[in-house]
Amino acid sequence: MKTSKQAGRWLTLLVGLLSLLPLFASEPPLSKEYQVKAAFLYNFTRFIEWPTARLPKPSDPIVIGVLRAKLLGDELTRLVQGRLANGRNIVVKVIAGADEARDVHLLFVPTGEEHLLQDAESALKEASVATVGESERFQAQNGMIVFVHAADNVRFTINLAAADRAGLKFSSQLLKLATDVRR
Amino acid sequence: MRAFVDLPIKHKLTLISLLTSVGALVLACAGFVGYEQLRYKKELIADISATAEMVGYNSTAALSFNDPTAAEQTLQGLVVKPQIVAGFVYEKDGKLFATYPHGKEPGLAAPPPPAETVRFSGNLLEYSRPIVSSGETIGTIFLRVDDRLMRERLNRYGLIGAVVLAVATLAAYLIATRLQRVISNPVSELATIVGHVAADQDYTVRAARRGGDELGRLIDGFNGMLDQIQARDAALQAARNNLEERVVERTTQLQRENSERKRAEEALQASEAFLQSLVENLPVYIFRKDDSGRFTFGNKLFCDRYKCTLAELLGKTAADLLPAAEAERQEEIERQILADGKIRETIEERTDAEGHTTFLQMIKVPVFDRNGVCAGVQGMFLDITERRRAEARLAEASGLLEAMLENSPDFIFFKDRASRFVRFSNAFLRRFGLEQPSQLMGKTDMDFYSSRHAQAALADEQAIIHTGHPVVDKLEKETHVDGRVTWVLTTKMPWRDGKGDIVGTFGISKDVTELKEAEDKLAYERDQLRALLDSSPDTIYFKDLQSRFVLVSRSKVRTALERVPGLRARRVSRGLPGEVLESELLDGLTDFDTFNEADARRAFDDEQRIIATAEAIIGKLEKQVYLDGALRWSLTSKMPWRDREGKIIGTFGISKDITDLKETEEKLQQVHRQLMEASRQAGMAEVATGVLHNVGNVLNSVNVSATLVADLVRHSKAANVAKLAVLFDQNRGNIGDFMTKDPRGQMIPDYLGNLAESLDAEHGKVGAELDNLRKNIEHIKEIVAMQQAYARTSGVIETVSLPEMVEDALRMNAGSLARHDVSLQRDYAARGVVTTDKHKVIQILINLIRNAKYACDETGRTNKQIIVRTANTRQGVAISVVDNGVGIPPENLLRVFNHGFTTRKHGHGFGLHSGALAAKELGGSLEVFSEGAGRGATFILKLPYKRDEPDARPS
Repeated sequence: MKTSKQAGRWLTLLVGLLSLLPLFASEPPLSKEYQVKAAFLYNFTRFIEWPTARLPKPSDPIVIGVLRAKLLGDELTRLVQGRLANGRNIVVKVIAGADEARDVHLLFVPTGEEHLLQDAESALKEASVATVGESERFQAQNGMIVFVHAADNVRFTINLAAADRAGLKFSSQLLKLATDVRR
Repeated sequence: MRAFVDLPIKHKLTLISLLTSVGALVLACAGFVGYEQLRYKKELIADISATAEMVGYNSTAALSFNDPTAAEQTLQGLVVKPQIVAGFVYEKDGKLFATYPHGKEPGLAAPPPPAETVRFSGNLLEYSRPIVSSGETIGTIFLRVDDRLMRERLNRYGLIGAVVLAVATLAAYLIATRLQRVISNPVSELATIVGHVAADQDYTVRAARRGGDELGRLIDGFNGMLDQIQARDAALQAARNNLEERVVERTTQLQRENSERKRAEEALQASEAFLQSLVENLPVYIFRKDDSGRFTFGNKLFCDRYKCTLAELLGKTAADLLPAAEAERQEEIERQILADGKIRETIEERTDAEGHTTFLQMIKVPVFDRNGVCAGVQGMFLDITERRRAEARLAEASGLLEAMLENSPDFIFFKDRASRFVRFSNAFLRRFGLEQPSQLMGKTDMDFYSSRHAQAALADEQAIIHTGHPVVDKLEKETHVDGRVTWVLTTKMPWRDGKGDIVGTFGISKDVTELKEAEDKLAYERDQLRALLDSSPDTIYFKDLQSRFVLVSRSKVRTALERVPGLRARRVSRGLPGEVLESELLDGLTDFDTFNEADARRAFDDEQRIIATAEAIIGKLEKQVYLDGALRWSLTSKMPWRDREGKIIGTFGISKDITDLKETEEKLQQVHRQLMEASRQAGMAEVATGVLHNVGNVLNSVNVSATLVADLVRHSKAANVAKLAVLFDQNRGNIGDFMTKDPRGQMIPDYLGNLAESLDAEHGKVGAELDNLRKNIEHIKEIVAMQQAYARTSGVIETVSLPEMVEDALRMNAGSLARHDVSLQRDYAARGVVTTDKHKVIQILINLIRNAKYACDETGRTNKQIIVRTANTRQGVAISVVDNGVGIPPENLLRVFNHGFTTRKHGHGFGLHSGALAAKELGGSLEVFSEGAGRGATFILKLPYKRDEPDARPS
């Protein structure tokens, strides 16, 4: 009698676990906004020039780091497949923290993750990492490119002074497109 | 066309010039305008393309970030190019992205393709190209251009061309009409003159010369032609006038020739006579044959050769005179001559019936008849047999010489009177490193040798030329120009021509450099050997197979001279020359001439064994007695003496005279013996002391015993017997009364009884003392006998019991040990026998025990102890004497056996030394161990069971 009771409990647990399966089986679709932002992240690599020390060999790929945003990272990975930026391959990495952030060339910081870079500002500057974010807090942390929304479109502002400090050169075309350029 | 051909030249020229100019101008204008249009179009497209590329590039960011406003701002820049009337940017998927001017419709059915495209449509040019970013087409730019400007330019060019053409044509006509005269004028002038010559046959007119062009040359040629025609005309006239004179002249000439011919005939006759005499008298065989090979003539010599007269010869053929084959061959030659008329010269070899061979030099010539036709053959021949033989001999001689010069390894050379090389052997040529004979021909010694040698050689050769005396086998040292030195053995002789006159010299040289060097080396080595032999104090000698001296060192000769009287006389008696150099005095003699028979025989046997076995004798000690009786010792090594092929040709040896050494050794031995003796005597003295001591001790006992006996005897109760006797004598008569009545007599029996008892005791005492005395004397006898036995000469080897021998030694010391209160412990593990010199062993042991006793004494301790131990070892026995005395400090352990070493005040220092030597002599050893001062010492005498036979060394 006791045994059948235990078996019933196990069964309940199993059913509960099985009901969770669909959640893992398909990922939630990425919003249109972030698809655009992913395209923008890829496009930025073509209009930013890193110092030679960061890309010493012509074969070195440009690494786009996405801070704790796997879905965006997957989208970006699909997007850059077979594409080049200024003749270089592009690699996308989803990273967990500021330590890894120093190895990337372009870093996207989604809203809510800015605190991870709280203390890494100067380290990222040293490593000539172009930072892209989407919040005012990020802008306050001297983020270089910040996505903004103008009408229904995604646009961006540029903190050119921060880019200059990091030794990065932003194309004049990019600057022209920015809704605001802080010099 | 016909009309053009008939036109006068001047019109033709004008027309040609005009047409040429206008044609060229039209073509130039057309080309220019066409090219200009093409170029303009190309430039326009290039310009538009560049503009499109620039605008496209500037639109990449706007396209990338989907910002049409920014793209339109960029397109607005096209306003600076007025010919561009519209511009559009399309996205990648063909969607219109931006327009210029703003709001303008492209008016296209479909979006332009994303590729570079140029299209003309009416007055418009439409251009499109892709916008590429990072190798990816992200859009298309499309421009529309108005090309009206281009067409306006083209029209302007056409007008300018028409005007220029009109003016140029007019100018060309004017110039051509003037310039054509330069050519047309002279041509028409020439045409006029030609007409005049043809009509009047007047060759004297000439055209005027005008410049050096083709026309000028044509006129010159024309004038020249007229000159020639004119000259030929004159010459024809002159020849006609001359002919008659020449006929007369020729007639006169013919008459003169006639008389000359007559004179020639006469000369011919004389010449024939001369010829006849030549033919008949020359030593040449001459014959003539007709064309059928029959003899038509033979001179006397010829007829004689074939033993016939001329008459008989005529009509015969070669077959009649010669063997068939030979005749056939001759006739064949003659047929050839008849055929080709050429002279044949041959050498004929004829062998007659007797087998004699003759050589004929034959010349056959064709004989021509008057008409120059070959009518026969004339032959002449000479007998050249002798010459041929001489030639053959000469050739043979020459060939021999050539062969010799070619192949001889010797240097053969012929020089002319000035000593220049004329002929030479190949070896001689090669000697100077030359290849071609021409390199040496005509040169002299001066060219190859140092001037000194060359001059000497020249002097030699001049002497030969003047005197005719040869230089034979002269050894010459040649110094070459390069400093190299060679030696040659040269013979030079006068070179005479056929008449016997000296025309130079010739010689044969042999290179003996190696020989000479070998000889010098040999001489050097010989000198070295000689120096060794002359200076070495050791005896060095080489002997032949019969042990006869061949080469001896000077020291040996000196010794021999000293020791052997009449050495020279001895040489003579052996059949050797007596008068020789000192160093050669011993050569040919043997050891038998210097040493006594036995020593010489031994040496001889040694050497013969070396020769037989090839085994050297090294370091052998030899005793040799010279004939004068002097004894010499030497240390000798003898070895086989081999020639260069390794064959033994004798012996050689080195002896060192060690007589002095030997004598010193002898002396040393003697001293040693004396020492031994002294030691032994010293030992004996020691023993004697012990003996006397023992004897003294015993004598004490003897003395005590003697005194005791003397006292006993002196105080003997025996004297009371005399008193009794007196009493008895006084009472002789009344003995009984006396005995019974007298009180004294009554006491006598008791007294006698007491006396008898007393005397008996006395007797016993004296007897015992005397026994003691006898024993003591016996002891002394024993001691003395032992000493005598010990003092006997040692050297007797006997087999003795080991314990007995040790006991003997101990007994010698027993007294002294007892005196010094040294306890003795015996530990005899070995109980065998040894064969040795007993007395020497005892002497050593006495020494050791005595030393042990002293060592114990010095400590002053009460428990003085000596342990005597025997043990068997592998080779023999070991006798140890162990004491607990003062011991030996380590620094002295090695010195205790040294001669003269002692630590005792009265020690002489050779007890242990002689002991060690004696032990060694007995084939054993004496060893010492001590743990240090105050810790006792152990001396161990080791002896073999059997003493080996003493070695042969005198000792």
